[in-house]
Amino acid sequence: MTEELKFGGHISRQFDEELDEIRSRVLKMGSLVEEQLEKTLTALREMSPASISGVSKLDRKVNKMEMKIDEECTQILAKRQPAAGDLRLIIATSKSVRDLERAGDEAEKVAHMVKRALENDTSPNLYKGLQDLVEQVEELLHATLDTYARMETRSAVHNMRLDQAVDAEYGRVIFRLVEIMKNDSDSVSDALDVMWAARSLERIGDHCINICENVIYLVEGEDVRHTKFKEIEDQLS
Amino acid sequence: MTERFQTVGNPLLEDPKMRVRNASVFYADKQAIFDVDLDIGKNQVISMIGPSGCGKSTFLRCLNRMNDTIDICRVEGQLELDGQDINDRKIDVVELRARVGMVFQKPNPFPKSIYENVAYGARIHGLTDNKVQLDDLVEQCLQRCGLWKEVKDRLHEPATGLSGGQQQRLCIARAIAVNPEVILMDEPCSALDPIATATVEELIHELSQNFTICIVTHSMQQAARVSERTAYFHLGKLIEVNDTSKVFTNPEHQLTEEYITGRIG
Amino acid sequence: MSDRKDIALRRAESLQKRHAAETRFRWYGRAAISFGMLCIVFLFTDIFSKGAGAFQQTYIDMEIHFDPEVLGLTPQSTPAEIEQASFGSFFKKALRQQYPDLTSRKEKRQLYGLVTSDMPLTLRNQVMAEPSLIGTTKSIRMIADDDIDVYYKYSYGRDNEDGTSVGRATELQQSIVAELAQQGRIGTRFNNTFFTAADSREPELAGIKGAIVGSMLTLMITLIISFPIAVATAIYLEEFAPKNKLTDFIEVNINNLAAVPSVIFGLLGLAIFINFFGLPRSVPLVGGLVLSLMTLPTIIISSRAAIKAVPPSIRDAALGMGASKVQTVLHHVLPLALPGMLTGTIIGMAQALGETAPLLMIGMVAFIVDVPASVGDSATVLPVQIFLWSDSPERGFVEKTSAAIMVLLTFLIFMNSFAVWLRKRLERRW
Repeated sequence: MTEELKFGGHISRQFDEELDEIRSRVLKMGSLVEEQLEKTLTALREMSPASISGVSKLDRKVNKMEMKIDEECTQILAKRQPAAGDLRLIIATSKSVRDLERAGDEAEKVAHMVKRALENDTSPNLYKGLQDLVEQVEELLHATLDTYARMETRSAVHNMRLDQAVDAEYGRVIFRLVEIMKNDSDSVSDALDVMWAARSLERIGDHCINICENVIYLVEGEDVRHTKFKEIEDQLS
Repeated sequence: MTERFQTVGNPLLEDPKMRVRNASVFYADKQAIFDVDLDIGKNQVISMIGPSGCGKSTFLRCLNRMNDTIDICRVEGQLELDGQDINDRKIDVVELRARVGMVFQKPNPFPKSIYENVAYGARIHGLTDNKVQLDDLVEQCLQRCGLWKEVKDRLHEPATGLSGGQQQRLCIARAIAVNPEVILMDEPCSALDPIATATVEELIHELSQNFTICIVTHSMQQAARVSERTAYFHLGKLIEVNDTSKVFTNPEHQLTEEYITGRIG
Repeated sequence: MSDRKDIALRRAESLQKRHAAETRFRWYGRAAISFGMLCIVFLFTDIFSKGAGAFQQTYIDMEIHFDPEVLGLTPQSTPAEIEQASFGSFFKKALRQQYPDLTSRKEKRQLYGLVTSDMPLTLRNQVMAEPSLIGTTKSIRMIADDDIDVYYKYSYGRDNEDGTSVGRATELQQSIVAELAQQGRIGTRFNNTFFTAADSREPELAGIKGAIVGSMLTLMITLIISFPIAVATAIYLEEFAPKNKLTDFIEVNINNLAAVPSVIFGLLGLAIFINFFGLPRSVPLVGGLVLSLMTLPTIIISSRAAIKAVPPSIRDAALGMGASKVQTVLHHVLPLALPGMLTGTIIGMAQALGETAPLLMIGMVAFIVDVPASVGDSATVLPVQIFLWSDSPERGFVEKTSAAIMVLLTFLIFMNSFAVWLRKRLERRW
């Protein structure tokens, strides 16, 4: 497919508007998840849980938006019987929204974990490494939303590389936590908390990659799930 | 002379029932179909879609030489049925149309009884020897079209008294009564309500086990539902031929995409 | 908002105009129809008032003594002898016996003129059938002469302001009629003669049977010739002929032919059938041929219209099943077009029934007293009979003319209603 995928230009202008609406809602929803991560990051940077207070409210908003977008997708399927690109857009969006919602849940978990750690005066040693991971995941999420907004395969593949970096960082964090736990058995319970947070962050990365895969399906019509990264790169080049 | 348009997808098949090469159709000086290459697979349902005036019906009517009835219409190119050229002088058009039957847009039963409608083809082609055989044939055809239960008590009442969907199924029964190899359907459901459409579509699906079916339709959903392959025509050119599942999720050609997503019509 | 109000106002105004125009148009239509109806009512009243009398016939009862001496016959006489006997003088004498006071020749002639001149013949036939009448006296019912008939039906017993009477009945005859009427020996009965006799010089003996039979024979020939030819032409032109300049030319000519004055067809028939082929004059065969020429275009045009009205989907259906062109036409197109074709044919026939001019040209205007038995016999037809009678000077023919017109109109109405009935009956929905 050489031509740019376009979503406007339907004979029914109302259909165009409905599709635009859905896409901008997804981006809005993504930005809410981003905000959650951003608050966590601020908390980590400032070593103060103050910024985390609004996170639960944000997550409830994300959940509501998921339902709203799903409802709109259902309506379009029922009313417009979309085909080809439109059909793929709806399917991909419907799936991506679920991933975003899960990512939101994970982000909330991380935020609470961080909040608890900061409030309990857990040793900063334990969660120091987390800051990089959050930063990377946030960058990945941002890039993913960008990819979704621009419907670009190239950046989707790039995001997969970012995810590999996230996975590597996650490995490092875990490794360090294990080291700490080996030396200091008192910190095991706190360390496990942090570990869960790191695990959640890694999951957010995976959800981002799911969204990128959906974008690739949407643009190329190829289902690249459960395919090795190398093969994807070969396929799309 | 512009360069010949290349159809995308896979228009050609191994061992097709009908083979079309380089087919062009002219109405007087105006060219309506441009160099179409297409194979129609045995016992397959192929649907032809495209905007109005794209030539899909004209193409369909080439396949049993119904275009012969239009004085100013001229068909060029190679059209084969089982490897035999259908425009050959040796082929009798009566024989061809018995092998390649047709169902039309508007249900057009003869203004005779239901029985006579189905029996007519068998009568003119001399397919049965006696009344008993003919009765059997009529019953069998009506059974296959799911009409038997509905009409068995009024076989000798006028066919025009049936509902639209029943009339169209009767027309299909009439077409299969001469046991054709290929059935051409020109927008068979465009005059029917959704329920009648569903019954006709179900019938098409059943018939596809024994007949090769070409269906022209305006309803993309219908093409998606009933056919295995879909051909997209645009301004007399065959743009794309692909498996239906491919065409409706991920068409190869930009024009096909635009048509099926409702951007051109 | 103000825009909308303005538009509503304009709309109301234009609506009023439209309503006015519609009402006006309706009234134009009503006026046109009323005028037409008025003309028809006028025509019908005129014809009926004039013609009704023709269905009644005046009779006079006379006592006749079949005197063997005067006749020179006996009840045993042979038919040949009866044939020889002079019934003319016998009849005159018998009449004189009834009115012995009338002595002058003039008076006697008026006496004889009371009854139809055919009377001696009628008496002879009666005697022939029943020779035992000879020597007896019998009251015989006689057909009155047309002058007496007219006088009795239209003037007797009515006060005419200027004292004149209809017809040529003399004062003497009038007084005899009055006397007869007092004795109850004069009256009217249903006029059988009108329907059982052919033309005659005597109005009281003239009938239209000859003309009706002549018309039937002529129409039969017309139908037999024009229907198959016209249908075949229409089918060929519509279904088989290529559309080119030649067929266009033929079509224009057929349409033109329908508008050619009928008298020209008469001249054509005269030139071709009579002068060239040597067929006899004034026979239904030639009349039928000429009328065929005239009705052909009408039937062709209506048949083509009927074929055109058959939906193409039916043709497609038949062709799509592998029916040949001829099968398609014979099995499907023709049955559906037939009602229209028949309607056109009947209308064409009705037109032919009322046609006079071309028949005058081929000599069907002759005075013929016999009912034709075949298409080769000299004959006349209804409209020509009307034409002939309307031209006759006798007062008795005036009512005959109107009566014949009534018969012709009855036939026409019957044929046209038959066409309507046929169309409704055979018409099928598809």
